[in-house]
Parts: sequence; C-alpha cells; structure tokens
Amino acid sequence: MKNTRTVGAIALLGAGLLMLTACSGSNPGGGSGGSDPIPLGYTATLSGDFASYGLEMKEGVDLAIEQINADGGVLDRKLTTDVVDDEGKPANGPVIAQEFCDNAQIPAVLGFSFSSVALSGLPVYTQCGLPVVASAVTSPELSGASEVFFRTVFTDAYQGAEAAKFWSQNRGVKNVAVLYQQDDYGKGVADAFSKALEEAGGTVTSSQAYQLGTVNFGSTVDTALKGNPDAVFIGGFYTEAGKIVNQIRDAGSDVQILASDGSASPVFLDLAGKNADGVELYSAFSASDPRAEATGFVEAFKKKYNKEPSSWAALAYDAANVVAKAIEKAGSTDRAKVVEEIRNTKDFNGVSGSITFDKEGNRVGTLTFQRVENGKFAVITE
Amino acid sequence: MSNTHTTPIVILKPELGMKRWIWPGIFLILGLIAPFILPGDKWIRVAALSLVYVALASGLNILVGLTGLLDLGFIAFFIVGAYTTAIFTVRSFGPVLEANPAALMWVLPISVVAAIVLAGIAGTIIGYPTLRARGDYLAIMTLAFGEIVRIVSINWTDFTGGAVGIRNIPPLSISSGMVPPTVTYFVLFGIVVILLVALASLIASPVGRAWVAIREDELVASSMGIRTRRYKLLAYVVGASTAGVIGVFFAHMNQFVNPDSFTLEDNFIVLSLVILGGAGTFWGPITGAVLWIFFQAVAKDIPLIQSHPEFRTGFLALIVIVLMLLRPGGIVSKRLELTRARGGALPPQGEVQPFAGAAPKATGEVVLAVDRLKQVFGGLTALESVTFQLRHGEILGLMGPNGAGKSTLLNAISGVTRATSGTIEADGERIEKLESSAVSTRGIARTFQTVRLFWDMTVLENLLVGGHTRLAGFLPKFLSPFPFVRRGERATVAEAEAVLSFVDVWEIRDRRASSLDAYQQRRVEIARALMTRPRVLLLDEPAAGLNESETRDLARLISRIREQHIDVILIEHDMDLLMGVSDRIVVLDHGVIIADGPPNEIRKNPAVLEAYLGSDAK
Amino acid sequence: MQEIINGLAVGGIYGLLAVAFSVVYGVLGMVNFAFGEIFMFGAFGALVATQTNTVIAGNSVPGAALPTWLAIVIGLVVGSLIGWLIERVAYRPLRNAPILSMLITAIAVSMLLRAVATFLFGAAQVPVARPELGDPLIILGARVQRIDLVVLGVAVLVTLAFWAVIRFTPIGRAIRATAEDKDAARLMGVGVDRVISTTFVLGSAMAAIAGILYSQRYGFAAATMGFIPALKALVAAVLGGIGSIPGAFVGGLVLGVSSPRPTCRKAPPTAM
Repeated sequence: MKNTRTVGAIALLGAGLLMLTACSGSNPGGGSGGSDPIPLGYTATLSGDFASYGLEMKEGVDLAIEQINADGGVLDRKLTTDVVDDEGKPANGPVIAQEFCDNAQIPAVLGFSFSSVALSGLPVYTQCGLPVVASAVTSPELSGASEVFFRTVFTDAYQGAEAAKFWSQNRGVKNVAVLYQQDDYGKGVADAFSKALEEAGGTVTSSQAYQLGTVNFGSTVDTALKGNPDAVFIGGFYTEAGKIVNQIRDAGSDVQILASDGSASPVFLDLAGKNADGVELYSAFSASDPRAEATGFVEAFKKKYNKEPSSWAALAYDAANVVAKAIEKAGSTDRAKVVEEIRNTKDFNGVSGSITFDKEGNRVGTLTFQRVENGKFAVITE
Repeated sequence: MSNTHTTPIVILKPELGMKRWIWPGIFLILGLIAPFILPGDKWIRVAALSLVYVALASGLNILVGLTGLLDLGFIAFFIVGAYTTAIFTVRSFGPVLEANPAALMWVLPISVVAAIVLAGIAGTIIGYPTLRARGDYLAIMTLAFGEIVRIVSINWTDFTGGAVGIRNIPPLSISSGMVPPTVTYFVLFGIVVILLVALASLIASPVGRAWVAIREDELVASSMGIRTRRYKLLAYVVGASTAGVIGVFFAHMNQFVNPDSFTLEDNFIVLSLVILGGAGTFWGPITGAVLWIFFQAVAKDIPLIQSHPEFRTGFLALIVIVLMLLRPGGIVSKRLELTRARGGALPPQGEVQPFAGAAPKATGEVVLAVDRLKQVFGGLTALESVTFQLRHGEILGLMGPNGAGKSTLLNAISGVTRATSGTIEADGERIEKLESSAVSTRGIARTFQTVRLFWDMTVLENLLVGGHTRLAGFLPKFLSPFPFVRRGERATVAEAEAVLSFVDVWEIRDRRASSLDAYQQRRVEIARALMTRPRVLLLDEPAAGLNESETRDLARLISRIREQHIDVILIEHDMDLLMGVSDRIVVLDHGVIIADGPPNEIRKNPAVLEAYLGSDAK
Repeated sequence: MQEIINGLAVGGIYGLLAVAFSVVYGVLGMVNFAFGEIFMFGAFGALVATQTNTVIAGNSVPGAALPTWLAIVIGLVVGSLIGWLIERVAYRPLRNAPILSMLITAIAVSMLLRAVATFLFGAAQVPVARPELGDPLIILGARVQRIDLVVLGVAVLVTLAFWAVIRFTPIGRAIRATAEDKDAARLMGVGVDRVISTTFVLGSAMAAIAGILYSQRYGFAAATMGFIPALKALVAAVLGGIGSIPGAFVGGLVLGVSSPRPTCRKAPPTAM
C-alpha cells in the first residue's frame, strides 16, 4: 500500500540525515601538536537584523589571526576559526556550546553578540571547562556567572555609570530624557545611567522604552523633549538610534544627544547623516585614538577591509590576542591551563586600552568617549 | 465542500493486530537508540530540541490540523509553561532545591501540573473570543494575543525577570553537578512519549472525532449534537497544555528563560512543521519536527552556509516550496486513527435503536407542532406564517415551488437558524430558541439539500460521529493507553454497523466518504442521521441526483424508517416519490402554507396548481 | 493632535500595503505574506538604481546612478515583476491545494526572498538619502514634516487610483467577479488566470511603492524591513474588512497612528 512507500521514503531520508550528521559531527582524529592548526571557536549572531555586531567582531578576529599567523602562529601552529551563527536565539546557545566542547581541538571561544545567548550556553562551557573571551556582551548578569567566562567589553552597569558621571561633570547636564531599547541591553544601560545620574545630582525627566525594529519615533521624541531636558540619552543599537537622532532634529530640536556604545558603528553615521554631528557617545575604542597600538591597528584594518574599524572589531581583535597570548604562555591547548593564563592577564596592551580581568571575568579599564565631528568619530577627553 | 471532487475509491481499513504497531514501533526504537548512534553530545542536544518541537507541533496539530483553528500565537502557551517552572524552581522553591537537589522529584511535578493549569487557562482566555470569529479574524486575534503574552513577559519585571529573564533553573537531575545531555534527552523522550500517547487516545475517541467533524463541516457537526464551541475551547486547552508541559522541560533543559527565547517567528516555524509534515495526521507533525530540526543543524555545518548564513533559511524555504508543490498535503499522508474499536467481519442484522428520551407515542399523537412561524432575513421575508403538525406514524411530505421556503423551514426546525417569531413544539417542549446541537439531542435529525458528509472520514467514522452524544462525557474517560478499547466505543461501532446494514451500505463502511457515488452518499447521510437515534427525521430533497431505480429504492427505505417508529418530514421535487410515499402533504408557497392534505387531494388542488404552473393552468 | 499627525504618514504606507493584502485575499482567498518582501525589493530596486557604487553580494560594482524619478519607476517594476513571478511559479500550481499549504508556501516564499535579499545586499541596514524638502510646516498647531505630507499624499492618490480601476474599468469588474465567484466568472468568459496575475501585479506595484515611500521617509533599507510592516498591514486589512479597499486603507491609517506605544515609565526609582 502507499503507506509502505511513505515508510520507505521517510526511512531513507532519516538514514541519509543520520549519515550526514556523522560526516559533519565527527572530529578528525586529534593530532597533538606538530603542524596541525589550532581552531578557535567563534560564535555570534551573523544573520538577521543585528548581524552587524557579529560580522564586525569577526573582522577584528580575522585580522588578529592573520597577523599572528604571519608572525609564526601560536606554539608554532597556525590559528583558524570555527564559525557558528547563533541566529540571536538563546535556544541555540547550549547546542553550539556543546559542539565546541565536543571538539577537543578548541582551546577557547570568542564572540557573542547577545547576552541572552551567552547566558544560555554558559552552563555547558562551564561543564567542559572551555574558556570564553567575549567582546560585545555587556549584561551585568554575566559578571561572575562562570569561572571560564571573560570579556574585553565593559558591562552596562560600569559603562552606564561612567557615562553619567562623565557627562554630568564635563557637560554639566542635569536633566536628561532617557530612551532605551526594550531588552536586557537597553534596560541595563538605562538603569545604570539613570542611577548614576541621580547620584550625581541630576534628574531623569522621562524614561521611555521602545521595541527593536521601531521606525516611527514621533510621539516618543515629543514626550522626551517635553520639559526641555539638557540632553537626550539613547541606550540602544545604532539602527534605532540613527532614526531617533534624525527625528529629534526633524522636530526642530537641537538638544544635545548622548548615546551608548550601541551607536558606536559607522552605520550609525550613515543612517543619521548630517544629524549625527555633535552626538556624543561612549565606547571602548575610537579609531582616532592617538596611541601607537591603536593607530597601527587602524592602519592594518583599513588596509585589509577598506574601512575604519568599529569598537567591536577592536574589542574582538584584543580578545583574540589575549587568547593567543594565554595559549602561548600556557604552553599547550589544555583548556584548564589556558583558563588559568587568561585569568592571569594583567595590563595587556590592547588596542582598546589596557586589559586586566577582575575575579568576575569583567574587564578593568577606562571608557573612551567620542563625539561625531564632520561625519567622523573623534575622541574627546573632557 | 460539495461532492464535485469524487476521488477514486479509497478503502481505509483500520489495521489489525501487529501491523498497527509498525509505525509507532519504528519511532520508539529510533528514539531509544538515538543517543547511542548519534556522533557527539551536540547531536544529542539537537535531538532533545527536536523532541521539544515534536511536542509543540503535535499540540498545534490539534488546533490547526484536527480542528481547523489557525492559531498563530501558539508559542504563548509554551512561554507560560517555561516561565511557570522557572518561577517555581528558582523563586518559590529555590532555597529548598539548592539545599536538596533531589527535591526536584516533587517540585517538578508541581511545576508540570501548574503549567498545565495555567496554560489551559491561557488557552481558554485566548480561545474564547475567537470562537465566533471567521477564519482570518481568528488567525489575527490569536497572533495578537500571543504577542501580548510575550510583551507581558518582557514588562512584568518583578515576576518574570523582564528582559533579563530567569537564570539558574535547575537541570533535570536529582543530584547536584552537571547533567550529561543523554539524561536530559531520555527524560524529554519519556515526557514526549507520554504526551503523544495521551493525544493519540484523545484522537481515537469521540473528542477527536468531534474535532475533525468541526473542521470538516461545523454546521453538520452541530446537527449531530456536538456542542461545537465547547469542543473548540477544548482543542485550545489541550493544545495549550501540551505546549505548557513541554515548555517546563525546555526551561530545565536550557536552565535559562528570557523573552528572546520565544519569538514571533517561532509561531510560524512550528506551523510550518505541522503543515510540512502533514496537518491533520498523527505522524506528520512528528516527522516534520524531527526532519526540520536535524536538517537545520546539518545545514549549519556546511562551509558554504557558514560564510553565508542566509543561505540556510533560503535553502530551507526553497525545500518547503518544492515540497509543497510536489506534496501539498504534507510529507505524511497516513490518516488519523479515529477509533480503536474494530468492527465485525460479517454484516449484522440491520436495525435502528429507538429514541431514549421519552415514552413511545401512540399513532396519531402530535409529535411536532409548528405555530405561526415567521422567518425574516434582512429585507426578505422567507416564511410568513407557517402552521402545521407532524403526527406520529406518518410521513409528511413538504412541497412547493422554488423559493417557497421549504429548506428555510427545515433550518428553523432543526435549529440551524433561529426563527424571527412563532413557536415550534416537540413533544410539548418549546424548541424554537434552541441551537442545532440541542435540537439534535431532543431527537430531531436531518439531512441536507446537497449531501454533507465528513468527506475525509470513512463511512463508519461518519456514523460514529452520529453516536457522539451517547459517548461524550468527562474527558479522562478517553485517556486510555492503547490497546485498551472502551466498552462504549465497541458498542457504538456495533450499533453503527447495524444501522449501516439497515440502510444497506455496510459493505462500503471502510471507504472514504469522498469516494462514494451519489446514492451511496445519500444513504450514508441518512444512516448517520439515524445513528443519532432520532424520533423525527427531516429529509431535504434526498432524491436529488438519483436515477429512477435508486429513487424507488429510496422510497422503500423511507417506508422502512417509518416502520421503525421514526416520523419523517420529506421535502421533495420528485412528485412520484413524494406522492407515493407521503401519508399527508403540506404545500408551501411564498412563505405560507397553501394546502394541507392527503396526496390525491393535493394533486387536484387549484391553489397548488396555480402556484406551480401559473394561473393559466386548468 | 501631534501624535495623530506623526502617525498618518506611516499609516498611509501601511494602508497601501493593507489594500494590496485585501485585494489579493479577495481574489485568491489566501494571504500573500510575501508582500512584505516585495515592499522591500521595491525599496532596494529604487535605491540600487540611484547608487553610483553598488555592493552586490559583497562585490562592488559600478551602479547606474539614475535620477530619482527613474529609480522609483525601476523600483516599481522590480517589485511588480517579483510579484508576478511568485504568483506564476509558487501560487498558481497550488490553487486547488488545501489552504494551509498555500499559507505555508507563502511564508516560505517570504523567507526565501529575505534570504536572497540578504545575500545580495547584506544583513545590515543600508542608508537611503532622505529627500530634503524644506522646513516643517505648522498645521493646526502641530509640526508636520513636508516628507510626511508627500508620503501620505502619494499613498492616498495611489489607493484612490486603484480603487477607481477596480470600480470603473472592465478589468476591475473582472477582478471583482473573480473575487466573488471564480467558477461563475470563468463560465462568463473571464480569463481567471490572467485576472489573478493582473491583481497580483497591481498589488505588488502598490507594495513596491509603499516600500519606496518607507525607505525614503525613514532613511534606510534592509533585507528584513518588510516583515513588521507586512504584519501590521495584514492586521489592518483584517480589521478594515477583508476585500474592502477603503476599509483596509483606513485600517492602515489607524494602525499607523496608534502603533508607537512606547512603554512609558516615570523616572526610575533610585534603588535599582
């Protein structure tokens, strides 16, 4: 009967799939040392609306690896990357973590665009002792969440507080209207910023959340501008921040606009166009940083990619180098040893500044502030 | 759907004995050995994830596939389940579990029960407003409500942790320390097997048949005595509870929930699995879920995909399109098992059971009394003022030119429409305000002008729906794991076969309804009506589409029905049939009765002739 | 008042899309989810046509650098072409299939188009130059951007034109007949296949125009830009009454005005 045909077809399909999993899942037998390359795991959101962060980080990682390999590699072996797209879904976190864990060749994992994905995968990484050095996840929830988790990017709690202090001291802003995106990143930043602002004697005149993907901010902007605040603070990704900036200027207001590191992207400049001028934001890195490490990095990046590096690329570049150095110092790709060396990282001269990890895996360092001048990001120190 | 799509003869004999275990057996074995043949822990996690989607797809299948309710917000129930257990195990019982991980043994069942209850409530809340909604409205409403649940989970920070979510949900183990993926997989496997067995039992019961009947033809389902709104709500509750339960285990599997874990897109993904696999079948959604999740995981490893992640969705979408063009019904076409009772091998004696609701009546007693019935539709008055009685032991013919209001009258009597004014009394009880399912339980059954069978069901299954009201009852009655069959089912199947034998269609009882010829269809429809054990049978143009010999046969059948002490109202245009079989005839024209008497009087009545032929006739 | 004005322009865009959904649903009995992607391709078609240097699939190619008005026409053509193609290849063979299968195919087509667009144009939002029309006007005490007036005006005009076509022309009659009863229309000599194709092309043209307006108004185009507007337009079409052109358009306006409901909080408590 036709049922048996269907059974046969499904069985065949199932068997085929099973074979495919065998092909893709199996690890080529581990050759120890010698000239086998060392794969570093890289996972981030590489597709969808917010793929930009993941892609930019990858650019930084790729450049770092290129330079390291040209220099002889790590432990005389070349570095490669094993790239997996997490699609921004926390459900994929544990699955990808397991995949990396199962590949005994991988000594460390880089990347992560979304904190929720990192959080979901952490138990697995902890279980197999595989160190993670992330470079874009800023949620305070990740602080101390695992003994194998480190990040070169600052937490929202730290950044938000530092930003409030800087701007209230150096710009004299007292009343700020806060806009933030409706997720853990936006909320984290907004909360930290607001708290620090009030501690510094300022007031938050209004605090509004918006959904990712919103394009029409007319009413939001109107409410924010009520009461004539000294500044408007935007805690969110560049996609919405760019539009908010445009619509604030459309509404005829030239109020000072302050933004979080979510806007630290060349795409922000494109989206906001001329209106971006004058916007101030914080980030861990600026392409116009005069330090030698930074300029060297910017030059090499421009040569390879024909554009200036974003702070994500810089942070990921630093993360890759931190990992490479740790493997070198550990003398092997043994995960426990690598974790130890990463933990011991102190005053590492990264392009985004000096890097040291505290006992919660967070980066200790100083925040960079930038202002947009003539369509470019420029470092400001006061 | 009218029967212009006769399919080739399809016999769907239910499997007996060992054969029916093949499909479940294969899946069970595959599921049990999966962790040992899959290469690597990552694939075991993927397999565990696919089990989650198997449950989700099966739950949604109840709504979309079986009952025909397009729920686009199904993930909301999954969210409720996941957050319920997160809150219980981290907040309420957090300290208890930290001190004693083995306590999960009793905390988890509490979570599960709570999830079932809460998800069920959510299902009722979301389902209720959609009950009277049209198809497209229903979809949008469910989409909106689903989104609302998601937004609440983001905003109700104190309760749900807001955008940050809830972390450190204990894993599925009674000891502290890490849980190997294999253990998680087997726990999930156990839960999913239990869920599927429960669902299968529900489907092979009056509940499942009611759902399919509602999907196929809600109007007819209602005239069989099925309270359609109630069963639609039940579909929501069952689907929601299934999603809620698996949500609990999903949360424990990932040890973390936050609103990002459940997006709007996931609704469409689960829906795709159901349709791709085969909506309305049992193994379809299961197959769809497993294939999809594994395919996604495999696709991720292809280097081309790694450099261009968008190829993955693009490629999968392409496969869906191709598959739909080749097999629009979905991959799996094996039909649902709608009853576990098996019929006999020999035709039984043909008989029809009597109506059980009242004492038998004497010949000539008034059974149905219609008094000054008026039916107005918008600006049109279909029935002006209709008054007549039906007496026990008679076959009452109803005739009239086209547009006279005959079918409208039948609709009013059977509760399909509500009359504007006037009364209808059945055995002394006023029934004009009752809806069709209530009228059916009062012992009034009907057929329709164009045959309306449940085309996707077999003849026997059609009949079983007729026996619904006798079988329906408290839900857990049906949750018997196979192969035990309830006595009630067996008795009903036996009765159905007897009725089929009475109408002389027992031989075709396993044929799909859409593969019958016109006369067979008509007889099955009458048999199904008889299955409801009526005392009054309303036949609406049963001879339409039949040839002469079939019509004569039908006349004999109608007489035999009268012999079973069932009174008949017969609408017919075929004068030979009508005059030949009726004891009395009532003539309707422009919404009023213009004649009422025995056939030979009616034949000569000038008013009747004028109505039919115009005033020139003599 | 200001709030209403703010929402009308985007409401007009949703209205255009809603009308497209409504008419296609009336004629085909299914929701064409892919209109969101046609919306997006219309925008990209216009954008690419104006660029001096386009990046297609990661490769830099010299662009056509056409003037804006021509680019808009090209965007329209691209959108309509894609719509026609979808109908011919994916929907027509499934005309007699169960309605759920058509639904899932529409969703799959939508996903496929998004993937193709991501491959061609990348995942990020591509900036689109917003037209400089001058200072905002003050109408009834509210600030109205000139671009908003243009957007709303175009949306209304196009909808009116479409409505006129449906109401007064022979092809419009054929469309209405097919929507009411396909079989009867066929018996009356109406070329049902051609009518359905035409309806699709017209609907796609409207979706493409909506997409171009959207990208001009908000200054960006992205492979995923069509998903949310399509969903909103669908809701608008259902609320306004499927099959009713004015209903769908008004539904779109209402949705545009009431959409942005940011969750407002007063100043947050100092204890975090």
